[in-house]
Amino acid sequence: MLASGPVIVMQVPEQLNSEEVRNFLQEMGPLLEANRPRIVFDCSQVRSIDGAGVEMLLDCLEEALKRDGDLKLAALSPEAEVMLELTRVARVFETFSSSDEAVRSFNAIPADALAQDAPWYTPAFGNLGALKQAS
Amino acid sequence: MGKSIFGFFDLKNRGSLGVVGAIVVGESGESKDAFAASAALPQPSSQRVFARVELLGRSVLDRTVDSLKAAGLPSVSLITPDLITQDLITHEGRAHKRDGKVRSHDACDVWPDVTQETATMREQGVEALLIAVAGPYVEFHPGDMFQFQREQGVPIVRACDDSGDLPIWVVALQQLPDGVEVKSYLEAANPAAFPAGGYVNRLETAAEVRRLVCDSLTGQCRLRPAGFEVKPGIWIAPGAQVERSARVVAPAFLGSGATVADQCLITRGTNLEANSQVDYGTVVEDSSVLSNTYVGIGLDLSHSVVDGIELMNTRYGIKFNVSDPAILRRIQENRSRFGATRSSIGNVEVGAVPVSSQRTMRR
Repeated sequence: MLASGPVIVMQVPEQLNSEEVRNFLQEMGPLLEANRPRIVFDCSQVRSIDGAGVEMLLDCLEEALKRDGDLKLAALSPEAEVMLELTRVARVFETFSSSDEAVRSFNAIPADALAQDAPWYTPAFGNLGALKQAS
Repeated sequence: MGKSIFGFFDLKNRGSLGVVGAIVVGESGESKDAFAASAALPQPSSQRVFARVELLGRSVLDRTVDSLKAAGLPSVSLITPDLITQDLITHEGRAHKRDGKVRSHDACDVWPDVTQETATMREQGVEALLIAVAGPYVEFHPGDMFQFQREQGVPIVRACDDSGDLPIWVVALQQLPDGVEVKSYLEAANPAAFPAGGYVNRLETAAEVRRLVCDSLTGQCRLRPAGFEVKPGIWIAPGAQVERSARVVAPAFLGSGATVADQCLITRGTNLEANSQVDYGTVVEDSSVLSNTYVGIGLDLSHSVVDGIELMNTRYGIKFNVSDPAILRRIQENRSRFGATRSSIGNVEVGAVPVSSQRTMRR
């Protein structure tokens, strides 16, 4: 398990079947019970996912959302991507090409946190009024 | 005369060709891998020989044998290893066997049988022999190839296209050394190249399978789906069942005994081969579901070829097994499909009636 600040990055096992899901959930359980869990599943090693694996991903997402957190998927292997598309689950998750990118996405400033009256552009020459007064 | 798949040519009108024959070799994957070491013979990219898999109702191998027979070749042998005889010989293949023109040799290594069969044909007076190894789908004129060999006066001619050699040869049997193994003779020979000229699909990858299916459904090649065109671009074989609320968008092919459950969508050049099942609410787009394959409930299958539990995705170029039987699985072959004469789309029955008199699907 890799920890990167408050965002937890978990390596998803190669075979995401019912047996592996059980072990994986044992690790995941305490993390999901935290307040506002922010989790990234690194799926680069995944070679196969069955129904239990898909269900586990959805359960984890549900638990994270319930606690005002989120679960994001990163570095999906082609096999994982095909399986998630096949089972119509891909569209439910935010996905990123790398774990770093997924971690950064948690720390990005949300759009609604920006002041609504601030200009949408950055003035290239600073305050034009002050410039005119000085001249 | 137009180009055709190994034929639909009339050898009877080509008296100058002499006595000709053909051997179609349906190799197993193992035999083809043994070939991979040779530079002279084709190197398959995978174990699978798609030519023996039913595509649009019949295998390419089956179609090849049939068209050689239809072309009027007096002697055609089909030599297949035991491993593939069962899945190759469909109802069409059984018909080939019944009429006695096509002989199936059950053996793991087919080449000793090819050598033996070649010797037999030579004794029977066959002068030129066409040897085609199962693999690519090629549209060319065999009569032209025999004629080319005769005009060139060379002992061996090999078909080729822009991408390289094809596993089709014409051998002058009178110039074949006594007791030589045909396989080593083909490998060692330096044949004259005969440009096939027509449509060629090497059928080595899942993407090429998809291309052949789409090209056939859109009329880009001469391979015709084995079924009835119930409306433009939608081909349905006898015994296929489409539930009332399912939707089939052209071009598409539904093989005999294929079933499509309620709320499904079959679209963008999809072919569902014989006895395949697509379960409730699943979308199948730009994909091939091969014979006896079950596709589970509520899935989105796209850009893929599925065969039992094996999934080959053309977008990513990957192949893997899906271990969950609720998603994909192999189902038992339904033998009764061979006797089926009618299909149904919703409550509309279609079958052995002229296309013009069929009722069209109403949604």
